Amino acid sequence: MAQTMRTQCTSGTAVSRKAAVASINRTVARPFTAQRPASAVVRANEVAISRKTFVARAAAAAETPSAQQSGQTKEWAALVCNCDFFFNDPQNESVAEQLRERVRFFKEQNRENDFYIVPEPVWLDKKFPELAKQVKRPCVALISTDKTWITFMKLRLDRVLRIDLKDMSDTEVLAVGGEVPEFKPVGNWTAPYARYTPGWWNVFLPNH
Amino acid sequence: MALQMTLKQQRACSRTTARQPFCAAGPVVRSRRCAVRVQATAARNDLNTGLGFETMRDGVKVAAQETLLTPRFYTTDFAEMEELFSKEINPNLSMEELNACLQEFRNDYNKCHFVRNETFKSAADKVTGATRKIFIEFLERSCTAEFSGFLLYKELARRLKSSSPEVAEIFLLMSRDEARHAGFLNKALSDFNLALDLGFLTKNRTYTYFKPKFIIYATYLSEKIGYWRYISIYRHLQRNPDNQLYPLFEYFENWCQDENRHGDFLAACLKARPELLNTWEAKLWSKFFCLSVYVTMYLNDHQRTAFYEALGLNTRQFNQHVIIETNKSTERLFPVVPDVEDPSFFELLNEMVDVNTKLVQLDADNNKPGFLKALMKLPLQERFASLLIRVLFCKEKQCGSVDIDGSASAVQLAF
Repeated sequence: MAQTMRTQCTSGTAVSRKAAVASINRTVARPFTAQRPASAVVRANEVAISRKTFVARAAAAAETPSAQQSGQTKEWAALVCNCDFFFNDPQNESVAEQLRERVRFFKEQNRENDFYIVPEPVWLDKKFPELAKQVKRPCVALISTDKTWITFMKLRLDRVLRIDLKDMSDTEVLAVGGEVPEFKPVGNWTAPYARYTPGWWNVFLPNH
Repeated sequence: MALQMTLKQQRACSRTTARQPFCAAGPVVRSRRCAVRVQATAARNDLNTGLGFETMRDGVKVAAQETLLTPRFYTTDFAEMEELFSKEINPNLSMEELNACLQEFRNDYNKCHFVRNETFKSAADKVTGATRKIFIEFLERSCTAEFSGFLLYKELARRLKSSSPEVAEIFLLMSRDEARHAGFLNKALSDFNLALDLGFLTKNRTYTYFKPKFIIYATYLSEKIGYWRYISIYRHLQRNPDNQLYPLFEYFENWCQDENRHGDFLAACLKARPELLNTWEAKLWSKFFCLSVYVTMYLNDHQRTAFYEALGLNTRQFNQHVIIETNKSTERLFPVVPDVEDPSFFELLNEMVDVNTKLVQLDADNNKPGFLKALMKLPLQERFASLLIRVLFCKEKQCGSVDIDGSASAVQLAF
């Protein structure tokens, strides 16, 4: 495969200087053209096919454990913080951009969505009463079965509490215990553009 | 092809061993690559007549002269960088956040995003006169900055490959992003019939030496400030589409996510080496680099206020917003940041702009003899230096990541 890709690169209309980076077995960034050369289209299809295969294999692998152990549920990870920080801080408008981007990415990859925003999660007080005391109210949780992505979001947001949700069913994990409050614009808005319209988060709620 | 690559690598090696004196001015480091060889097929476009740009050959622009404030190319002590991330030297290095970043970069969210269409060229032809000139200058600075990051990241990837393969892969994937951005910008320049010869720049530009830990502080800041600059422009133009000169800005939202993620990786690098965040030295450098980056940007942008006004922005408001938000992002990581919301902070910066404007005007005045200009500059230079010292000692805030022991935020008990 690597050999084929390299050959194809060389013979293609746009010769990519990056073909020599063989150790990273990934598609190399290609020159941009308004009209894609034929070889690029062929290669794009090839990559798409191999990716679908990968996704199918991943799905198969995911199915096996659930078949072997009946009642096995996905493990979720959560980041918990107060609503004002998560939704109202101008800093975190980038979260809206990231979530939109991730949804677009999942669609392109034919992957199911694996994250939600859960206002006032029921499990916080019920299962983690000590941790619940550290969180100002009203609060919100960003949850996902992709723990690596949650680690990344922790790095981005920093001022959030990370909680791994073990031995909980999907229903329990997604149980909403309250609503995101309506925010009044407070403080000094310094930007040369208007705020994002409140409610951008509704599409990410579990019962949407 | 292989031979060309070998020769290129040899030149890269010889270049990186040549060290330049340390330059105290803070860099605005942006990282971008371009593997695209732009082929200018159109005849010289007379829209560029009278704008004062030199060409190396038809359609290829001579690079702008390097000054204290222009984007720089960087080299570093690669052996020392290896010591920071080598698995053998640092068996206990925490990789969790670094691996999370690696997964994000492997996802390659923008793989199919930077594709041009037929509206680009016609939009470029509608930009004329003084606006065309300042827009070309903006594209050139941005492209050069992106390309400089590409070169640095690619070299870091190459050097760290054996000692720290995950970190090396991250740098390689970041150089992929930078290459796309630089390529996209250079294609834009070719619409204006003045593409850059990036290969020529690689060989002929002056490389500034920077210590590895300075690279991490400075590059973190430049990626985050790049995010806030571009996202603010994007959001403004999204709401004011008539002010968009050229379709490039439609791609800025996705572009910005690349910038933001790059900043996050550099944050993970700093958190993996807590002594870069929780020592007194770390506090001094944190504040210094913040101020260097903010002051450099503020002065640069006010020299080019016409560009921001052409987009319908107020230069001062735009800059202050970008600095305020970048500072808030940085509060989540650096142990000390300047208190930019203290009223005297921007007053000082505004005074610096005034003095800098006078210095630039004196330089441009061809009616005065050289010695007289030098004499007239002296009080302005003294004034500038005095303001700079006052900025360095401005009010500061104790902050940092909640994950770093000893940071002011770690004692925070409520989320």
